[in-house]
Amino acid sequence: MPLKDSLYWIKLKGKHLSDGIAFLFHRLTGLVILLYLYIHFAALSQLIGAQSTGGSNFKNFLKTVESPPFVALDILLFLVIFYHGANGIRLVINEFGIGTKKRQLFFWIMMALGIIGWILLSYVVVNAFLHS
Amino acid sequence: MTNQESIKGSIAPIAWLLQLITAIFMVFFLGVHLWIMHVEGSIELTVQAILQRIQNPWWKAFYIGFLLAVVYHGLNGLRGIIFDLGIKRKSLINGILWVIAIISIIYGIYLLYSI
Amino acid sequence: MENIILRIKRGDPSHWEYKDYEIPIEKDTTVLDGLFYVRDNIDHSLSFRASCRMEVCGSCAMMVNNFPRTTCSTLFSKIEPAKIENGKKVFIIEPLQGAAFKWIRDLVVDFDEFFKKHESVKPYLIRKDNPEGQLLQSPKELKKYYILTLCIKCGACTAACPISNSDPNYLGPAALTAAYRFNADSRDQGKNLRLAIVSDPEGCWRCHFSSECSNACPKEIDPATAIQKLKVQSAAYELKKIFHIKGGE
Repeated sequence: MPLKDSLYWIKLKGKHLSDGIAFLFHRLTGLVILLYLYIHFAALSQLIGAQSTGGSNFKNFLKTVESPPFVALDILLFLVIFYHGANGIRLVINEFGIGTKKRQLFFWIMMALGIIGWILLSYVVVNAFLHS
Repeated sequence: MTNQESIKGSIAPIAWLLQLITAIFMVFFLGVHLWIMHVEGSIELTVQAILQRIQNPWWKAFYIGFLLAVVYHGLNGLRGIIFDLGIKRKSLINGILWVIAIISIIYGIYLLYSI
Repeated sequence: MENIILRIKRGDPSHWEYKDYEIPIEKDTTVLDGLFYVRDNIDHSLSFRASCRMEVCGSCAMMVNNFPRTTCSTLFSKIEPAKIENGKKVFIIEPLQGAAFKWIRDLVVDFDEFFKKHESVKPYLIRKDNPEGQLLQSPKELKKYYILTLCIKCGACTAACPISNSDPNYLGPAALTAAYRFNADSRDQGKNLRLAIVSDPEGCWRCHFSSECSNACPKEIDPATAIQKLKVQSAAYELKKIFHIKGGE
């Protein structure tokens, strides 16, 4: 049964965190981002016809979205995106056969870069929110 | 057992390469997008900036490229996850995902031109 | 000298349970030694495969605490117990998991599909000519693929691979590594033939580099790297064919 078998993806415990667990999170974050694409479409639909109406629909939407719970969700989304991107860059390089022997080190370096990027972006967003 | 030296199902290596290429493109696209979206301060300025940007054909091209990359990468990834579960009806899944892809791309481009 | 508990999955797919067996171990007792103790002294009906007892035949691979290991070379003192109950360490022993292995009974799984997949990638030297005398190879050429020749077909990599666990049609790390072992051999002339078999949606393209196979391999062969190199070979061959560059016919 495919769904029961795919639980093995979670049951696996390799010697290194950077292998099966990284793979599992890469897939989960990918699915979240794909879902977000369609949520983003829905949000952007508020902008239809904005050239003539002045975008009042979208401005109202932005006003509701500039609130603490949505900013918190945004920061979570950035974490998801930075994880997927950082691990993704490592995967692109590794899948060409480069640096596969040192994949653990490579993974943690990319994670560090990803976390730094996430903190910087979250800081900018929270700053903008607090000063608006 | 085949003795012929030709790869059957030649789409798979191209799909893999495109997955990696769109991944790299998107790191760049997303970087630019996140940067410009959070530079403006207030809601008024943001909406004004968006409306102005959308008029520029280069930005339109940028967003169309971004849309194509995201839809391809995301739905190909979803296809990988579904096939990894050992599903046998591959043509059906391919068909459904193609339909979703085309609808997403058409809607995205419609959004871009109707703002 | 201490007593530990082996929690072994007994039965068959229609009816199974986990049974506890308490056994004495020393510093250098292997998991396989423990299984022999159970069979010889406690429960004669325990079924498991073993042969060489020195990590060369590949018969004794099983899940030990949810991780595939060759039990003949796994010492109890070197691995973490699954839990501790009443002051005694508990180790959980199960048969190799996943859709690639059909469970027969107790700790025995069906290896037929595994060997069929291995055979399907033509794991032997292929020559287009009929050379006389020796096929010479330098140490440098040997080094490129030597580690891959050490595969004992134990199945640990295939049990560890997340894709092999859920997709019974995937060729699996063992077969793909065998294919790359021959592609990388300078004496071989059958690379394109093998690529035609391996470059399949259920072949190397099902691999997403979770690298659990390299984690599990008792010989530390690193199948994950071999498969990525196989992917690069296949993609290069396919592109050459499309653009009609020399090398792809």
